[in-house]
Amino acid sequence: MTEADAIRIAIVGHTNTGKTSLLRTLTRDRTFGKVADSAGTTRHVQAASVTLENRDALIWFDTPGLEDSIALYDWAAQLTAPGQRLDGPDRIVQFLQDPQASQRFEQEHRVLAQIIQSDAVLYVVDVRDAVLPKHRDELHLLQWCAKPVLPVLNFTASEQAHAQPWIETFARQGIHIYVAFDSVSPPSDGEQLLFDTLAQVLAQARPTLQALSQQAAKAKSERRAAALERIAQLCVRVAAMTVTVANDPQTVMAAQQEQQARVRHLERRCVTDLLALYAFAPDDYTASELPVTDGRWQTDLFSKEAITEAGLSVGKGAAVGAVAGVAIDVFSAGLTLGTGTLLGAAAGSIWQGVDRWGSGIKAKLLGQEAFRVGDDVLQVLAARQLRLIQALERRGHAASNRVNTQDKSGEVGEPFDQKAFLRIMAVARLHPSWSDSTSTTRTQQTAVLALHQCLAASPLLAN
Amino acid sequence: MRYLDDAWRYELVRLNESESTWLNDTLANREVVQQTDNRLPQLWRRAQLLAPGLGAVTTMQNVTSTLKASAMILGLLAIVLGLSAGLAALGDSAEPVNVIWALLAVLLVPTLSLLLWIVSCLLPQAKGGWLGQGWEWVANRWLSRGKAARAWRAWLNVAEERQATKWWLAVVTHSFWVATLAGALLALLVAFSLRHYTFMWQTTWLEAAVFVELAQAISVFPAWLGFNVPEAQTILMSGNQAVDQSTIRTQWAHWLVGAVFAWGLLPRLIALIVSAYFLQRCYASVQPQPKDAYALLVQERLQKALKAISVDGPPGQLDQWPQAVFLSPKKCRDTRAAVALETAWLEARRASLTDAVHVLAPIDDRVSRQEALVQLQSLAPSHLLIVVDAQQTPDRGLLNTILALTPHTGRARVYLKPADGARNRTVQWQDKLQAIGLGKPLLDWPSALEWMKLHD
Repeated sequence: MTEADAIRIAIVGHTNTGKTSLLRTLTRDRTFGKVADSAGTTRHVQAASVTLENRDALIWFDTPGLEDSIALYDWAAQLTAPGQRLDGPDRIVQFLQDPQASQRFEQEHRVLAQIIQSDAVLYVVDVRDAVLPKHRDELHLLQWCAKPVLPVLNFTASEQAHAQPWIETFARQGIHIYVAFDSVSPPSDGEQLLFDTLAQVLAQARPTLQALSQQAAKAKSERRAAALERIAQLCVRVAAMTVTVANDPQTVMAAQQEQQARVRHLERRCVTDLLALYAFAPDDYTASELPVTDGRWQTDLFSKEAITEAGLSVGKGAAVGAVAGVAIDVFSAGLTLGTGTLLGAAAGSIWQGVDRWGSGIKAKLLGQEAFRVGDDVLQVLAARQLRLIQALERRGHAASNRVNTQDKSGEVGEPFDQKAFLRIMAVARLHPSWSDSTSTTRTQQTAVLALHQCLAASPLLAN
Repeated sequence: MRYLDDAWRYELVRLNESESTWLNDTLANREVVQQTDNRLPQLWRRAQLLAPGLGAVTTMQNVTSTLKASAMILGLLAIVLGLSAGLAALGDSAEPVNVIWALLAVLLVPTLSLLLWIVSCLLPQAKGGWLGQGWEWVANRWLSRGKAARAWRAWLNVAEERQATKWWLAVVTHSFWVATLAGALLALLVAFSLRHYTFMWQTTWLEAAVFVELAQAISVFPAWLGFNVPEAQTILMSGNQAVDQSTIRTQWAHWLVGAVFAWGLLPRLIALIVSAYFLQRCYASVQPQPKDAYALLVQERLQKALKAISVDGPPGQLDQWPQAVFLSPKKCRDTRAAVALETAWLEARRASLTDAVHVLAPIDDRVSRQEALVQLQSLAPSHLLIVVDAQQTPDRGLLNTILALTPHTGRARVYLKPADGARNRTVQWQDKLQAIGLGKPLLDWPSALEWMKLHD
């Protein structure tokens, strides 16, 4: 298949309805075109191709917005030709050939010229807008081009969305197939949906569109699998982390802080990887837009709020919020008085999130203490990454607003099977060498795989 | 081992890119996507193109040569060990050789360790032999520092991923023993050629028949292979005293050589071949497509290399707006008019306007616009209030309408019907109205009413 065989789809619509945004989301490319809340941001036709087996199978054409369709429609409606009855395509061709009209309607000229060369048209509307005569004129112009038109209802997720008047307007024009596709929070199978619906209006291109739909579905599931594997690696690595230090208050404190810093660093790396995997990048957003800044979550992993934010219910265990302090206090009874007091004091103000580990006999004999990351922190870690995946899968590449990870509307109880999770974490703890990024033994891979499966069953990721 | 280098190189590039930043891969990516469309070959080919830039070729060679050198040293050590073991087993030729004792000296350790290896193979987490692990440990000492460290890690990762580690270690272990046993066999052959040995077996309380059976049992297998074996009579004669008779000496020497070969060298050789077979099978099978985050990201980069963003031409000129033209004050009448564009909002507010204000029907299409223009022409108001919804994007159509209205009035202002946060386009309106010379829009209704009352 060469470029000449590729299906060509023009994306058109009134100005500022989010055509470029739609393409950003469809191509998963945040940098495509220019987006601004203003008329006429896109000033030329820009192509983006979708490849299938290394060939361009479909080309999207992002076009400038239609702005003055009323005047253009009037201009074209008044056209006459001696001894001839003009139909729609005739009028469009006359318009495209008229140099004066082309100057007056420079942007519209580009749009209609593109439509004539395309196989179908996606007509994007902002369903927050009321249906106005100018929109009807746009539809008339599109009908004159004699190409299949598939309306795309954008911003359907908005509270101000009124889709029904639009649907009725389309029906009056004889258009009964449409797609609701919010480019900011698209349906998780949005790409497939669009290809499948296009296949309904473009019968001759159906096999290619079906293949594209399958490709999109495959890519989506591969992305998720890779993301879950990455999270599983993170959890296994953090769980395996063990620090053994001499049993004196200052060293213990310093070691714990160092351990916390390492965990934060690993989480940051993982977040950056997940963002990259979903074609987002932390530096594209300012602090307020994503709960993660510079790959770091705004709520510190080792703070009590993190548990609430992660929607976890760490029941009886050693450490929920304030209980964490008590737990450490109880532990420290076995330590020297100095350490105990210090840990007790620390637990009062900040939550350590690091457990003293029943260390080996050798460590005891040498007067050492071993520390590892607590169960609760591990659960928060996993839950946060899962929520990030959930947010990213539902986020369009046109979105610039803050991801609402605190949205409890889809709340589903535990984010994952905590028992199974902790069982695998217990295995990881027996292998301190797994915390080393260079370690890739079979058993470690088995643990990662098991965790991957445990997390994949998360109700957060159910569609 | 067909794919060892490909997989190793890919892993090395992967470690590099995932631990630091993406390499400069624009050219390489373009070349890769032009050559193949299958994911794994694409990833391998890309790594192949990028590896020289990392100095990967040299570091990989370093690792290979270190591994080879260590294997060589191990091999030499094994041969020396075997030679000395063989010679030690025979002792100096002054004393007769105790055949059972000599055989045990050469075969006991290798046979026991072979049995252990076979047993460990049946266990789920087989390691592949102690010697191999020792070799890995030594290699680790040499390679885990410096430039080769990453290449070595990549090598280990690939071995682990291919489940080949066990077989690598097994191959090293068996090679070591093959060399040792070959050394021992060589020692026996040389010693039997150049020195004079007599043979016997000894016992304190066992019966002679036991030794006859034992010696014959041991020689069954060598006999198959064509070695001469001592007859029962000969074995009986050699009990507790050596017989210095050429045929008997030769028979015993053959017996010893045959036993070491058939029970020592041959099984090890078979184990080595089996391990080597499994090892090459680990690398020869094409792996499934990598589906981890790194592979997907590379895939995405490759796809990007395919996409040339094309445009239909230079971007259009930004709109050049003419300045609004107004009716000269002389031609105006002292009337006021108000009209709404694409909103019915003004109709609802008619009550708040005095009767002196002519409220025109809202403009939203060509017909209503034409009607409004006709009405304005006859009214020639001194003030025209144009109401628009701040939610609307100020597009060319709306601005053209405003520009068409102003020539029929002495002055005009735009009132922006307030809109809530997300879709408030007041700023865009301010810019556009500025551009057509209409001044700032009015933002609250009372001041709009106030403006309508002005006289001058």
